Amino acid sequence: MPSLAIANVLHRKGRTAISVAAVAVGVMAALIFTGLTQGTINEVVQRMQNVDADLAVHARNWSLVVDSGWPLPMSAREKLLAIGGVKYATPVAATRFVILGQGHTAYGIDPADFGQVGGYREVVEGRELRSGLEMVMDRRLAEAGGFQVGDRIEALGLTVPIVGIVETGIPVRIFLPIQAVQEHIVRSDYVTFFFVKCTAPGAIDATAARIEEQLPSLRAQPLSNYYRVLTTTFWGLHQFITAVISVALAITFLVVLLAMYTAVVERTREIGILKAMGATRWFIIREVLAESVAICVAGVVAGAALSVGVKAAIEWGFPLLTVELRPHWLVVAALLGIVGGALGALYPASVAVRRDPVEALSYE
Amino acid sequence: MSEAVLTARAVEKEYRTDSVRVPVLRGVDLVIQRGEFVAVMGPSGCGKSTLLYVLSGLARPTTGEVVLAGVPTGELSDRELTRLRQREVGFVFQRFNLLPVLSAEDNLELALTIKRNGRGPLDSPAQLLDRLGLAHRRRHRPAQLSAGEQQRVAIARAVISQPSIVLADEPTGNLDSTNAKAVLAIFQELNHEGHTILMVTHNPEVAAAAGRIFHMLDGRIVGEGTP
Repeated sequence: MPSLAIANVLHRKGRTAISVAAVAVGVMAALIFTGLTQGTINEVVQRMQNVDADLAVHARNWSLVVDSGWPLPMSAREKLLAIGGVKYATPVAATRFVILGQGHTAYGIDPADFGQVGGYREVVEGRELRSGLEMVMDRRLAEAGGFQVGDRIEALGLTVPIVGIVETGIPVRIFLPIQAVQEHIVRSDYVTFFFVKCTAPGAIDATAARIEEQLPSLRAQPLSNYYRVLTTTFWGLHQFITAVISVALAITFLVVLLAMYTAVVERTREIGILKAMGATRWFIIREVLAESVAICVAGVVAGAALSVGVKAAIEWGFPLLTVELRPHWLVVAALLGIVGGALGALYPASVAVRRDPVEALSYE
Repeated sequence: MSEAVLTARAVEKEYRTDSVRVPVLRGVDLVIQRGEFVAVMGPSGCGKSTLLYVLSGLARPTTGEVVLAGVPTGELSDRELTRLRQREVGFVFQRFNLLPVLSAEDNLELALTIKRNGRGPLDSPAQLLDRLGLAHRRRHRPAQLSAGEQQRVAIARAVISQPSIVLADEPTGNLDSTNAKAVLAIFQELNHEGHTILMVTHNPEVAAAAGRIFHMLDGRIVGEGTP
């Protein structure tokens, strides 16, 4: 059986190309916005979960994700170590450096703790932290900025030499000795939070509860909850992304509707011919829907290919961003694109079947 | 024993635009027997095309009765009427009305897909096009065919599913005299093979190809004769 739908799609190349492009952009927007959001969050979560610790202990009413400052005295470490279930507590004095026009969190830590806080990532160039005002950074930031060991970073009125470049995967991209951070930036021995390792994996919740009970000004959060913490903190971002995806799909829907409506009007006479031949309502609806679905399938394929290109372009232009393209998101985007396109074709299809065949046959 | 394929009894059709009623058919009676080649001849605007549409079920009569292949159409739903037209009627139009995006062969294939009546195809699309001298044009689209070739494809499309009757609306109206003769010769050949054909035309020379002629004027059959 000849496919009238496919023949129409191939015959009207300009209209088909525009419709396919519209669907492709909708699918690409859905994939890229989702991939960028989830990719960035997952990359940050993955890096945080590389830390050899179970809990992040910080001041109550303080956010591990968005707040800055040094609310805790260094002496809190001794109190934490005295609580049952705590194996060790690693102080972190966090600060923020602006490098390449973008803010980056930097952790001031005891150089001896770098292995566990850095997830035992290897130094790939230069050396580990020792003392004084110096920094190590992760390879991704170094590559993004073209930094090498020996380069000096100007930030917060300080000039900090890079002494080492570390394999990607450390929780933040910059580390300094905590003593230097406290001396030059904090100007006290206060810290931001503690990473706490528990004595046994099964003791994490109980240890967290004990910390919060014995030190009520503190909050102990399992690092395994970090994804939830991030997504809860940035819930508005998800709504924004959902809105963007909805707009992209709405545009896809409207473009397909308009394209198919135009096609149905253009082919009024053909619909009359089909009716004269005895084509049923279902046959005509099926042909209009099939044409729409063919356009949408082509659009989904083009959108997926376009997404791969856009992902590469984003990661080339903005090397610190991560775009994840996961197969199940492609399936969801494909379904949304095809269902949206089919829905967009329903009205034109209903217009087609309601055409009076005699009027349609005399349509010029 | 003769068998009526198409019967019209006191068929009237009027169109209404706002408050204006325009009567087009004013009580048409006719009977077409199986195997006949009949022409309805009359001047432009006398209601010939409307008569074809009403007889085929594309339009419903305002009053009167149409019986197509033994089925009174008045009580049929739109869906049933569509199915009846699908099984029993083949159309040939003045403007050919082939689907422009399909090749000649695919236009015939599509007709076979739509028009399932259990009789099987008259011939395969390729063989039928070959019979009509269009073997070398099978894969051409309508825009790549001459007017005469397009009308031959349209005739093939109308008969391929072996309908009970072929309705032809001014089938030579867009053709030169050579192609018009060729098309009429095809109709006559098909009629000799047993196909029933009802053709409307304003041209007495074209009507003369039929075995029986109804004369139509102002929405009425005003006479009947033979060429």
